[in-house]
Amino acid sequence: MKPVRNPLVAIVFWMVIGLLYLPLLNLIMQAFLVDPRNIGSGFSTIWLRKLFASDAFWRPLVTSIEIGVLAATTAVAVATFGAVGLSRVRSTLPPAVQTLILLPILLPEVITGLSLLIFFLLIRVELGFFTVVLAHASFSASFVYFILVEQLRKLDPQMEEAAQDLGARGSQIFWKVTFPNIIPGLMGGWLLAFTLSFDDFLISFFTSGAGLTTLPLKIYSMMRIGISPELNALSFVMICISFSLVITLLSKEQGREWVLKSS
Amino acid sequence: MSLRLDGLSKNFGEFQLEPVSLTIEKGEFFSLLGPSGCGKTTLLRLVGGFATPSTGKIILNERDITQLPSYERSIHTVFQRYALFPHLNVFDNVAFGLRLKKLPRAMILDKVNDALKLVEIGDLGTRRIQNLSGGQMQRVALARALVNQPQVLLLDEPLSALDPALRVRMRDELKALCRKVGATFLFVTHDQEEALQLSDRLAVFRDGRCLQVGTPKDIYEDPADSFVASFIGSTNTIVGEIAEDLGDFVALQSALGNFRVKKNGHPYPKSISLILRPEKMRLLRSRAGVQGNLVEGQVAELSYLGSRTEYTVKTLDFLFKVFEPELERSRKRSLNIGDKVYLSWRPEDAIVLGSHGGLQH
Repeated sequence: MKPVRNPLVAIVFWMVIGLLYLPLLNLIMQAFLVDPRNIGSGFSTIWLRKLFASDAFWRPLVTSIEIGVLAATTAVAVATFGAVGLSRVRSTLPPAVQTLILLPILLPEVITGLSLLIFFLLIRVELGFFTVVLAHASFSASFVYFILVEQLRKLDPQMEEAAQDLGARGSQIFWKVTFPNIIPGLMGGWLLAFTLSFDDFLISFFTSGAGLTTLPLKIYSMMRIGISPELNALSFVMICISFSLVITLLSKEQGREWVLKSS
Repeated sequence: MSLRLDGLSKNFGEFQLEPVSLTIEKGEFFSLLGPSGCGKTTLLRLVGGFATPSTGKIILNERDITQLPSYERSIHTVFQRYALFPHLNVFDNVAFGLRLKKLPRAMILDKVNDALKLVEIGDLGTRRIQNLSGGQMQRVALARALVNQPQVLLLDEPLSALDPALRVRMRDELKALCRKVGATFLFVTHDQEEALQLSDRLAVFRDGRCLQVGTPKDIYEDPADSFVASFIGSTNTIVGEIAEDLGDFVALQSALGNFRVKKNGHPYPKSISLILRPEKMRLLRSRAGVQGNLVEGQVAELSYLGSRTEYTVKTLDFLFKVFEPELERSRKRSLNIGDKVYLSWRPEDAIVLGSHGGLQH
């Protein structure tokens, strides 16, 4: 079939792209202007260098990475248990359970954050590093779960029987056959969970308490003081990290499928 | 040294495999044949240990293995879609079972290489599974099972995923392989031609019941009932009633005329079905000098297939299928659609069945 060429489609497409990327491009440009309010002031990396020299940048970055690594690992572990376990009883388990797992994805983040905050206060856990890790792990586990379920569905169910036929028993079947075949899903899931955690502001905001600052929280607190050249530089770094994470994720088949499906 | 199934059954609620008793000899190529949903795969899964029987026993070499888990049975399986491990290469797939048994490395190397050579893929050891053709995957699956030296090899429709030409070639190889390794092959298929060609003996299943067990010739020439007769090969069925006793024969009265039917030592019921195989009837151009069973008709359709020509001959409302070998056709007058012909058969070439289901022998 010949594609229908409608100039309106192109116009709308470029408008959407512009709307999405112009503010970002502007932000990136400002990060490199000597005087962000004056285009004529010339480009320089002074603000970036200043940012990299300051502890106020490195501390939150390290915190964000630590939280991301721990939260993603926890989420993948929990989701793997869930997905592998539930795939075994697929025939007897009602779709209601799937919906239960899907729900946290659909819930507004404000509600998720607030409910976690109230819960942590109720069980008298001191807010801080570990509450943020737990909170991030719990909301990203749902996403990882769906990636893994998809991957498990694609596995030949006879493969586990073949392993059993050849003498594997119990956990050997999982570790020697199932696990190696879901590694791409585990990696994609981990990366997605890390990205979600690294980019998250709202849930961190609710569950971090005083004293703990992730990168998005740092940007927010700097913004309250006012828009500064350092803020532009920090945002630029954040954009770079997030983009490279997303691009890595998209380069993996499972990640791409998931992103396309959820969007 | 044999595999014995003793009243083996499985009840799934909506589906039931009725008790089956079979003895399969060591080294025998035995097929379970039937349409999908007939219970043949269920039986295979019971023997493989992937399902637990509701009743009955599985006895391998005089040892009851009914309760043994599949990983402790000396029985290995070639799965329908091969179920190879995509994360391992060909060598590691075949070595999987040996490594679980913790055999020494050198021994594993030898055994795997021998198994790969046995199925003629000695040079593919380092190949990834994703880069194999269907036929090669089939061979890897065979090697992976055979390398463990099973006493019984289960094959679950292993040829159904191959393209037709390859399927026919693999049949010969499977049969040769069975002779070579000396293991018992238990083969599930819905393809009657495959079962006839490969099997030493076969069992025909339908609706969870084993209808008949025998050699391909037994089952083709002496089917237990009309289902077995029509599932294996083509049939023409004439239904009629016994009219007269003629000594060695009885006279059958039917809508197509009266025919002589050979007695088989057992009394026939009043009403019987006469099953005529298309290749057991002769297609005559004239009736001059012909005695015995004869039906007159017209050629309604014909297909030339090289080694034989298949005719559809119409008599009243009845359509006969008749095969004429090329040797015979080429020496006679060519026929066209609409030509008048005569069908004749010897009484002993017809299969006699009670008109409702099977006839007890």
